[in-house]
Amino acid sequence: MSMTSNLFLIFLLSLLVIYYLVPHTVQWIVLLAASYVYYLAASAAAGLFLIYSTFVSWLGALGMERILKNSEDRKEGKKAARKYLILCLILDFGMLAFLKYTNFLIFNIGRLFHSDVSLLHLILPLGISYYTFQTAGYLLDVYWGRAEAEKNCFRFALFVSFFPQMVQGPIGRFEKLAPQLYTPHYFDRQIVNEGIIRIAWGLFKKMILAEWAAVFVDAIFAEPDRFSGIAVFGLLMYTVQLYGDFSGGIDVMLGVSCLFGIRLDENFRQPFFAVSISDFWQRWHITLGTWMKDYLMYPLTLSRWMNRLGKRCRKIFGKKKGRLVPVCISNLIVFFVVGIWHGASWNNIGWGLYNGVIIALSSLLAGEFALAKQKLHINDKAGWYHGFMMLRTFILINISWYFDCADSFGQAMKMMRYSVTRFAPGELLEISSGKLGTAYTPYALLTLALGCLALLIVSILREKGIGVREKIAARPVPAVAALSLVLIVLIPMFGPMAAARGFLYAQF
Amino acid sequence: MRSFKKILPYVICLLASLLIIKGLDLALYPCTYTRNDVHTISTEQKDVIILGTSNGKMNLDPDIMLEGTGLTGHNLCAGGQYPIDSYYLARLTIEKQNPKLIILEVDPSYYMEEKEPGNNYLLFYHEFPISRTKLSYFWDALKNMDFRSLLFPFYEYELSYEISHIGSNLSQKLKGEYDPDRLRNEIQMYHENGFIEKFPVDPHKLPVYDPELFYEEKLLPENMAYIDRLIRTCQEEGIDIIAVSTPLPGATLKRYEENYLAAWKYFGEYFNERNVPFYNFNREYFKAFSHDAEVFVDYDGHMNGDGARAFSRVFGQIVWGAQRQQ
Repeated sequence: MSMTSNLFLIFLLSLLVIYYLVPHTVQWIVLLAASYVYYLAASAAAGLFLIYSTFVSWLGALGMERILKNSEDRKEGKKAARKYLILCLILDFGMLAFLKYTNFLIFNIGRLFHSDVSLLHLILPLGISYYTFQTAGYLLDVYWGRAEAEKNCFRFALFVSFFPQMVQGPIGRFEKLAPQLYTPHYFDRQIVNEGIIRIAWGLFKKMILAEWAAVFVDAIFAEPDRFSGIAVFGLLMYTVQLYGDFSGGIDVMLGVSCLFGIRLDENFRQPFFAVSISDFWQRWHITLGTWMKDYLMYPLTLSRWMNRLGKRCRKIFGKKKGRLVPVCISNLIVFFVVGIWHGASWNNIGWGLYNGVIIALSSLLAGEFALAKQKLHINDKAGWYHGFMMLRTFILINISWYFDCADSFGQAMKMMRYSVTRFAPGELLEISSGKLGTAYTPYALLTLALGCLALLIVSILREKGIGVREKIAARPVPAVAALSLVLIVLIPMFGPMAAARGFLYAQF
Repeated sequence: MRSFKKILPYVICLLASLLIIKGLDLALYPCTYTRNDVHTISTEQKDVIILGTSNGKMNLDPDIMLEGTGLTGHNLCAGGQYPIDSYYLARLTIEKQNPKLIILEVDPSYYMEEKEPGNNYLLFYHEFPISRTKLSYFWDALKNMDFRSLLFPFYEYELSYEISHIGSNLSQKLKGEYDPDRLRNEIQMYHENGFIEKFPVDPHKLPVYDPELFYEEKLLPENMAYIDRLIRTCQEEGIDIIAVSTPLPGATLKRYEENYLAAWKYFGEYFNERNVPFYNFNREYFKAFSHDAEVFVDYDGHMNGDGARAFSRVFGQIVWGAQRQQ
């Protein structure tokens, strides 16, 4: 059930009526039932994996907590609980790895031995990467004592399956999300208004910006030689498509969640204002970034073997640099995981490692950079320098996306070459924008430009700390409704005529 | 009570928004010939209903076809009408009136292609009056389409086109006008009985299209399932059903001979198994009507007005002659 479909619209409206009509104490049961209806409507078979993951994590957490509470020797208890934890993580991630990466492995082994191995017919359940990470985070939180294990299996099932976050996240944290799910919710005008405006804005981003940009991306990347003069535009359009699609989808789902009085974690914070790659990852897909930081990066960096490595590195590279080596290695591992999380392909692994290497290098060379800035009398706080850093980060991020949107490494390199050696913007007008061929292309480009401008203005305001959404939500209901309606009416008037594509991040 | 007071402004705004959306639909969604067709079959009793594609629309004139039979008929065919649409149009007809016969025009290419979401569905669905059939049609065809199809069906038309027609759309819809003359343009004329008359073109300059060639293995099961449902529904309701394949230009038949032969063989057996008489003017009844370029306006098999009238007469004589013999 796509978030943009008629069925979802009907589902949502009926659910809202039921949700606010039933006694508040059973609202969470309504949400649970709706979440399973939503999930099973996509695929009944996939529901089994969701139930499996829910059950394994729920039982595992209860088991761990019992051991931790009942054992007299804390150390021994921790040791025994760790066994439970590892078993549950293997069961959870094992399922994800099997479904998502088996064919990748088989394919590559086949290539290595020059043999044609037939791939397995595996289904990739909707949102499996999201709910697996969510349940794994919960298990670790219980193990570390940050969260109490949920006793009620059905309540826990709601935490895992809450429908707005099933398609493309955000990856929720138990201690933050669970209490909101189980508390009674009264109709709150501010949060509902925020939800409405957020849904409209998200749909605008997805169905006008991302969909128009996709028309150009598809054409340029399908025929890179024919459109070599606009390779750089292809990449910029991909940036618009990816951001519009992902952040638009997240806005819709965060908005939907607000309609039920529940605030999910933010997943974006003006990512293109980032001044470094690590800053970018604190603004883009935030919940994945913080998940990686809390559950992979820190445990890795603080692990015993990393400590030993750190000591050895300090001896070889000196105190300052030696201390950074374990952090850099952890970073590389984290971004390798981020890459492969995005999909079982070498492109994704390369893309992840590219991010990891840049972050590692910038940490290792931070001292040299500081020295160079001092020598060149560069003021860190100067506006031009801030702008330069933003532009540099934007370019670095865009380079990484060559690998994301190209079919192969070779095509990515070709597009990169074309981007710097050829420039013929007129070729944009040769791209067919739909049933009317190229006749509508100039309007499509103008719509994209104006849409991006609107996005930029809102982003600048938010970056300056002005809560645009919150301010609008505080206005009377008719004003909120009118603005939302205008945004939504713009979609059929200025969006592409073709049917909306699926969300890019739903495939993970 | 407090909660209701809080929710009330939202309900009012929702209703106001729906009203605005309806207004936009009235102003921007064009008045198509399908609007006239669906209006006719929803309000007037017709004995014979013709379903099918553009070939049926332009090649079968019900008035000529039924001359001397005392029967009335309406041509409900349309370009882009897939089996799912034919099925729901038949159901709507049955829900609104009591037809005696349904004629299904068969173009093999429509049975292999998946229907694209969007305009082609809306062309029919949009005009359906509120009914059980409309609800089923929505559930089968539109539920997974994006929300524009439900709220803003005009989205598939070019904005400049929509704006230039606002006045005429509003006046026709608000006054309940269904004047066929408004649907006339420089290449064709729509008739009240649903037939579209194409104006003749130079037979030496007929446009060529690449048809979707028939391969049995490419047939889509869902398309065939809707034809099965259509036949079953007619049989359950006691309505006769016959199938027809209108003549194609000789050059087209020759060029894709192998594919067409395979198609006729398949559909011949298909309709035979279901006891549906199949009048194939490209095989069994090949000699009954001309396949010369002079009769057509393109190599796709669309006839000019005179050709269509002549063919309708021949078809009528064959069908009603055959029925009388039975």
